[in-house]
Amino acid sequence: MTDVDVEAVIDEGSCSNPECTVNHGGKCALGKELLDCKFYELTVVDELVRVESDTKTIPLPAGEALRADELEQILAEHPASMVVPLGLVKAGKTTLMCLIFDQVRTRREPQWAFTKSKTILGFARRSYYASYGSGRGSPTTPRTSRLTSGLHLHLGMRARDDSEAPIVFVDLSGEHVAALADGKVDPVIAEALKRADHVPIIVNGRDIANPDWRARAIYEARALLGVVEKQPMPAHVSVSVIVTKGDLLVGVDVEKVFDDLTRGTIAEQSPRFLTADRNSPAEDDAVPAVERGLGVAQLLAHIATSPAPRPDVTWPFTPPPAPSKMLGRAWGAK
Amino acid sequence: MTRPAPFRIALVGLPATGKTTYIAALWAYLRSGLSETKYRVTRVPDDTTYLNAIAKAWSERKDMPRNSPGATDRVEFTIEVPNRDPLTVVIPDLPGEMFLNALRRPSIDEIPAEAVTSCDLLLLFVNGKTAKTFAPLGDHEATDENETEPPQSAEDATADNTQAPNEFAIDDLDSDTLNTELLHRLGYLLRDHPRPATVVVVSAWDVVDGTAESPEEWLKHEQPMTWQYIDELRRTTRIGVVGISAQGADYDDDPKVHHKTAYERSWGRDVNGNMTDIAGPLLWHDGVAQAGS
Repeated sequence: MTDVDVEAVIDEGSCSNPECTVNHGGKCALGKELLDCKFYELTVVDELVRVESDTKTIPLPAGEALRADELEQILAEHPASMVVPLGLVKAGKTTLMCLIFDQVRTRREPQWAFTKSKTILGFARRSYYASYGSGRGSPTTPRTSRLTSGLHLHLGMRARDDSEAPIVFVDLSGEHVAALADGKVDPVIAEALKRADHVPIIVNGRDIANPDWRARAIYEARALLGVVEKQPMPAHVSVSVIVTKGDLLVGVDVEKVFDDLTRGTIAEQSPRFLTADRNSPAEDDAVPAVERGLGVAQLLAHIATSPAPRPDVTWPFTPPPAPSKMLGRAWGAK
Repeated sequence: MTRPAPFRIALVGLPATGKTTYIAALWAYLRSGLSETKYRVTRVPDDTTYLNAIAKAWSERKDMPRNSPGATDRVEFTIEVPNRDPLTVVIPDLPGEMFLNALRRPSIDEIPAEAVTSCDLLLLFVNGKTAKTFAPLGDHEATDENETEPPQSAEDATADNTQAPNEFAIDDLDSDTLNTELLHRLGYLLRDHPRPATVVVVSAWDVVDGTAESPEEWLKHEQPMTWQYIDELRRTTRIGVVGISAQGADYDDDPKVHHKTAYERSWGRDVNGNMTDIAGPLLWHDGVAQAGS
């Protein structure tokens, strides 16, 4: 097998001693050979790719997000809870996965210990631009493109009772989910839903925080829920609702938002979660601080296990008739 | 005289984590005329060119000679061990670039792979001085990216304190991520082999000494993913975490540390946080092996 190595190409160096004239064709001020002078530094100007034909290499796992066929091999040995977050573009699906991974890897969730991940670099690639290591001033998460939609991220955890709780997230592009909300089911999503244990519907908290956008956001999320209810999924699947960017929801009646999101849908009786991937300091006593990681502990407790089948639900789901007390109540009104 | 069975040690770790410095300091220590109660080398191997070169650099407080990315220097010597038969220690000095390459691309060169799969003791080096784990940017930015108005001028951009972001590159990831992934990949290599006892060696321990009760506590706080990974590994493998200061001190803090003799200069902390000598990882392995026998 051919192997490739990279070597630094060293160009001429320079001297950092202001009293020295070496940089301008003169001699070392200390009278030393250049390579022995502590002020003289060589400069790496390029990297040279060197090909060695005789080096044998042994393949290793890539650590990146997994294709479906790669995931099959892992699940055959180690079954995992399959989580398929669905949300429109910029709802925060990938950010939420990275937040969960980050909370667990940094030991901020005392109920859960990180055990392993087959996709450490996959997570690192997605969370890099939200870390100080990226050199950015503000966090961001790369958008999941249509090309990479449907890749899987694996997170192995162990609960305090010593039980293992591996999770696999399906990272879907928001465009594909938007098409689903319009009734156009992409094969990638259809395949993911067939195997799902948990389908959290992700709602962008930024839209909920803005009174001008809130009703539209609720409408779109309900439209998505309406389509999801019609998809073939395992009988035990749990459809929940997550509102992200909880740090922005200052002064918003979040319970009412959840009620409006889920009323009369498959998620009406399901757990609901408010999450935050950023800190928000307390402004005064009435506006408490929001800490990064809000909601992750509750969410992990929910998704880390395969839900029990719900005898009250037949699939595809048919919404029950609305209780009479709701009739005549204006949607969106308090 | 029968040659003792080789005891193979694989030193793995990213570049500049102190692997070669450790070998240099260990060699100088073992050759410093220690008493019979200590590990010591009484017979000089046939070819000591490389060992002498790195030990000389160490004693002169110089940087270790840097091997080329494709080269491996084999180190082999016989040590006398208290109350036991002599031990022939085999330590291939593998450049950290080989392990970084194994992270950059999903493959590993045959030489480091063989060193790992055939070893009796695996030492993972983590540099206590440079180890980091990326913190998240937790503060809320003013607006989303597409809602930010671009700066009107270069001055505005500077005033805005924006900086060009780095592109994602595996080399630039934090040591916590890289070391966990490295352990994961080495675990894959070992899937059909007996898992060797493993010691995480926190090098440059003098820099972080006193910040935690023990090297393991330090790892738990400073490299949380690596620690959790090895803690899980502990279910099937003997694991230790020790601290080693092969240089003896930070050269900036103690520029004359190299004036000390070899057995006085290097030191470490054992798994319990007690002061030990540079042979700490070997002592740990010996202790566990004897306890298990």
